[in-house]
Amino acid sequence: MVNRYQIEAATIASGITDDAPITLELRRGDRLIRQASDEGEFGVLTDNNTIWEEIKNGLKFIFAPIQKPQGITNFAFFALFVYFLAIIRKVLFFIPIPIRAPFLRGWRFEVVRRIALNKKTAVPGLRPDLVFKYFLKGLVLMFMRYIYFIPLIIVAFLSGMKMLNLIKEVAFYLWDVYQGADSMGIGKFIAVKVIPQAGVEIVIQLVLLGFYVVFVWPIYRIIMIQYALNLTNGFGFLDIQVIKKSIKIFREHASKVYGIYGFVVALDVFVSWFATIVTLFTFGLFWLIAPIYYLILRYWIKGFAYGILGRRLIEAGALEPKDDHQQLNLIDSSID
Amino acid sequence: MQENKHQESYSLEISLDSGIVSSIKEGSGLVVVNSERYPNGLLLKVNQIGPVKKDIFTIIQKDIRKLFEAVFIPLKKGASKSKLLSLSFVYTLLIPSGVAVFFIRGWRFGIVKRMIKADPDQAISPNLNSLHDLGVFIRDGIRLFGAKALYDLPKLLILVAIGYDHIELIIDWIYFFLTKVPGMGDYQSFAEKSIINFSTTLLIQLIFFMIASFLITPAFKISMIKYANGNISYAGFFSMKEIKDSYRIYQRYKTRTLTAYIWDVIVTGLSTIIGFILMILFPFIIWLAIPLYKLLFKHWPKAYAYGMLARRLAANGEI
Repeated sequence: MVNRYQIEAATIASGITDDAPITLELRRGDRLIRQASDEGEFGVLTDNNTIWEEIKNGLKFIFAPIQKPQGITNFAFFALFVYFLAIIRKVLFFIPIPIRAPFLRGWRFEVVRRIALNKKTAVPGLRPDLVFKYFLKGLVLMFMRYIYFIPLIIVAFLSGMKMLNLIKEVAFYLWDVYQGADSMGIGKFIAVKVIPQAGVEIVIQLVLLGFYVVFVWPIYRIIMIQYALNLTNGFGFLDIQVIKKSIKIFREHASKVYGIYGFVVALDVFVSWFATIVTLFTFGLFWLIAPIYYLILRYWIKGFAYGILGRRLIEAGALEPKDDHQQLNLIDSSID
Repeated sequence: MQENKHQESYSLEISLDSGIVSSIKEGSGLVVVNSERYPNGLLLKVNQIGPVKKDIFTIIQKDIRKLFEAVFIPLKKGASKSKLLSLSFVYTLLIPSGVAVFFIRGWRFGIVKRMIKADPDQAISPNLNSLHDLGVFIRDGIRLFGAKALYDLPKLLILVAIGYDHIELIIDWIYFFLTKVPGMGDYQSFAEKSIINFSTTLLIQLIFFMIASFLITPAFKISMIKYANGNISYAGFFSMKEIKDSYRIYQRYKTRTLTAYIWDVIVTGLSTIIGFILMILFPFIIWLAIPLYKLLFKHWPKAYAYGMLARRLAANGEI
């Protein structure tokens, strides 16, 4: 009589058995399942967990250029300049033109270049021609960033308009209810009017925002690094060839880009939080140290991080920097 | 004949003549032939023989016990604890910016990868020692998040439909409790009305939702395991051939796959509810501990379950 049986068995290390082995032939419906091992530790000593040393070394690495004599001098002068701009900003508060931003962005841009190329003096100074360059390049970067983020702004705006319409409808509805006019029940109103519209708008905004965060941001940064390394000019941000090349670089080195991205985004949030908390607790006196706080945490460290990304991309052969003596080109490298 | 230096355990389900069965006892040698995986035959030593147990619950129970034990693996050894702490530190830093959503998915994916590899010199939890490692997690997390979002579209649509159909009812209920002192008669008629409204469409939708969940997500997870093992590229998630193959594996290993998936659902649900209660009870103290809590009681058990499934599939040559 044939029956179904279950046999638990194991391989034999020696390959020898006491008796002659019995041969079993597998037929349709029979199953031979190898039991998987369930061993493994969450962490083992032989497997390097060096994160704390990496963080310590990373911090040393980030601040090393500022600690050099030339670095600290350049940094101090530029910090004074930023203070000066901050005071001008306070005095001319009624002029709605960003004064500090182009200088700071241009300075950071120069940090990116120097770190990427591993220059001896990584901290850009306050030489008049350089300051002029920071300002112009900073303007170019700000302009290009606006162009890049225009679609996001437009969609957010349009969807914001729809949300406004929705608020208007809600107001009319409430007015009707107040007047005792014949209107639908609140549940129905929310189900029919509010949720579909608000839901769709929120989904559109989230999807677009996700696309920007995951894709557009890295591409923008890769082009920015190429611009810093003189591999393209300011129009490179809009040049389809440059964009294509950047997408290719991004696809091949996504982990490098996202590593820096994670760091920068996390840093940004904490820098803002900390500033807000300190401002609240010091009743606004934070303003006194704000310029240097931002210069170090937002401009130096972020510039350094993008510079390191540039260096990694150069090392990986994704970018090949030319001899960079021509650093005064602003938008078109052919003008100098 | 296939021989192995390391001892490997097998479970054989086979139809046998009672004559042969009487000659097989504990310790006897067997040569299994005609196996697709071992064309030259496989020499085994019998540990146990008995009538086939069709008891799925035994398998599930065994797996669930292993999964329960696994929850505490990170707390067992010094090296594990320090790794857990460092991970939770990074996780905490990434939560406010939202990058953690991707990071944690990538990390879980890394666990599955390492569990398949099963290198005794390497820990199950992947290393996070540099920004490059972090970038790898974020990249993998984004990829999986994107694929999962596409797979989950039908579920999302059903959820939205449920929301549309029943929001009115839910709001009416809230309104009812806020504005009226519920007299018994009132309450009863209202409840009856709601039950009629509720039962018709919601039931159908919920059934569809469950079917979608049990049909789509486990197959997605199998594709994820194949992706972790390098069997398929990212495009494989969307290739009909690979999807079919994932379903074939799902069908063959349905008990194991479903155990992992149901464990995933329960762990997610329970950890969320308990986390929520903890947040309410200790709003200030728990804030910093939440990442560690989530890492230990949500992400690690989930990842381990799929890692375990992946090991089973790998051991049987499915991936």
